[in-house]
Amino acid sequence: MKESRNSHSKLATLLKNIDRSGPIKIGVSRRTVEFQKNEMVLYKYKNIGATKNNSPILLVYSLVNRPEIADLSSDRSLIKELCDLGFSVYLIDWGDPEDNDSEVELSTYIIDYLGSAVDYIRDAYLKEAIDVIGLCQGGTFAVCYASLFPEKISSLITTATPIDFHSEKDRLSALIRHVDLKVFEKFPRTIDGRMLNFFFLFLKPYKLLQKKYFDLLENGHDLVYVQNFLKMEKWIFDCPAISSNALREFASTFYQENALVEKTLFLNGLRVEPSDISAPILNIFASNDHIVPIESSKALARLITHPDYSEIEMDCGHVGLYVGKSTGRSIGGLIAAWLDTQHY
Amino acid sequence: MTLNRKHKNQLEKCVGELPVEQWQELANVLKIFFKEDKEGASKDTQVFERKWFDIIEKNGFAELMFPSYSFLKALGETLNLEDKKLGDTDSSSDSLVAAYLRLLAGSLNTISIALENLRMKTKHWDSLDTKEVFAKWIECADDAHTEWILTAEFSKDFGKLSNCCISHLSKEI
Repeated sequence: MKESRNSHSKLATLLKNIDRSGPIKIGVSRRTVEFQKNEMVLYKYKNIGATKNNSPILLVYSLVNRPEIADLSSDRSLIKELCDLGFSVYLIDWGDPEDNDSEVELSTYIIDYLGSAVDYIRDAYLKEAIDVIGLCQGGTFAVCYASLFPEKISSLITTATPIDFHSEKDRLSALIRHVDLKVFEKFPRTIDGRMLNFFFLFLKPYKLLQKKYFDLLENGHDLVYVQNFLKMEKWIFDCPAISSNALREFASTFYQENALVEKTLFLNGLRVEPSDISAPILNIFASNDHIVPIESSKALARLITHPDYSEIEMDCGHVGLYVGKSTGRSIGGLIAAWLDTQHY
Repeated sequence: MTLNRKHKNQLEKCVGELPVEQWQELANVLKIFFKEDKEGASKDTQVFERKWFDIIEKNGFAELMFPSYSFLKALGETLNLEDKKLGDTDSSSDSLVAAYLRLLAGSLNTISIALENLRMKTKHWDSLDTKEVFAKWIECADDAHTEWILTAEFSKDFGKLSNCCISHLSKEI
């Protein structure tokens, strides 16, 4: 009875703090729209302090969830950190494809949209090549782009990026390996992004469906904890629709055929060969990543030939790489330090 | 409105449904069982397991306790596989039913493995509070789940079930 009363009291405190949390806003840094192509938007973030001259950097995010994970709150923001360090930060938001849009394929995202964003920034800064940071699947896109157009990329940073989709501990790959992707041809042109959430929750169901909420209840008295929890929940469950074509293509080409490693990947008839990348590479991954195993990310080293390749392993999980504070090291600081050694 | 109403409802539902009191009761029973086991009062893990499942069943929160199992059951319900047995249907459906039954059995097996790992990994039950027992259980349960979903058999069976679900969904859309 006493424990039951405690639980109800904890729940009451938690609900009170949920109300006190106010509007839950993620994506906190100020930005302007620089360029648009169909549903894709290229944002530029405002620098408040001193800027490094001529140092644009482009962030490429995944098609799953929204890029606000890189700008969750003012004290947990890769974007803000890079801005504070003087970089001119650009971000691609792939947007929400609509059913009446023209056919969107993987090559549309990688060659057309990412390519347009790179060219826009190159033109704006009168530069031959720019620095690119890929986040998760966005890293895979960036690797593909840098393989196809090596002359346009001056430095490539990949974070929690899947490369070898058949690595031994790849849970997501195990879930997708035997799914008949042709079935998606019968779907409308877009798929509700929430459908994918089931797959992600099934990778670690006890922690993600039980412990997380138990911890919330235990920490419901802590307003900051509750606010951070709500921000993360908002990000997790706010999934944009995904082009069914692009999803099917990505899952079959990468998860089932492992085309990047098998060297069988073609986009718009162009062969994607990572050994063509001519930029130095910094590859950052998380030791406890349950979505992208480190073996998958580390496979990049085997595929490239450029001698300037570095790796950093962070002691955290997939999302913790972008928002975690437990490691005592921020990837923004590590990226900036590495870029400094490349350019100055 | 300070918070997206739908989101807030979802959150309240998740938290409200969390079987905290039941879990605390269960964690205490777990501690007693494991302590007894350590002292040699009950060395039969299967007996322990049966008792554990009995308690869960009696309290009526098996589905909340085992999300992997309940997730698969939900897929089975969507496809009306719940009461199907092998031989009930034609051969193509039979292979789906067989895959579904193997997945359910595999999921339950991960619970047994997780329990055994919890018992092996935890030495000083007396010094642990309920929260610590819970945290250790979650770790063991997710580890056992991971080992299972990385097997080739799981991958094939899950693919078969997923294909049927996706096909079912596409017809609905």
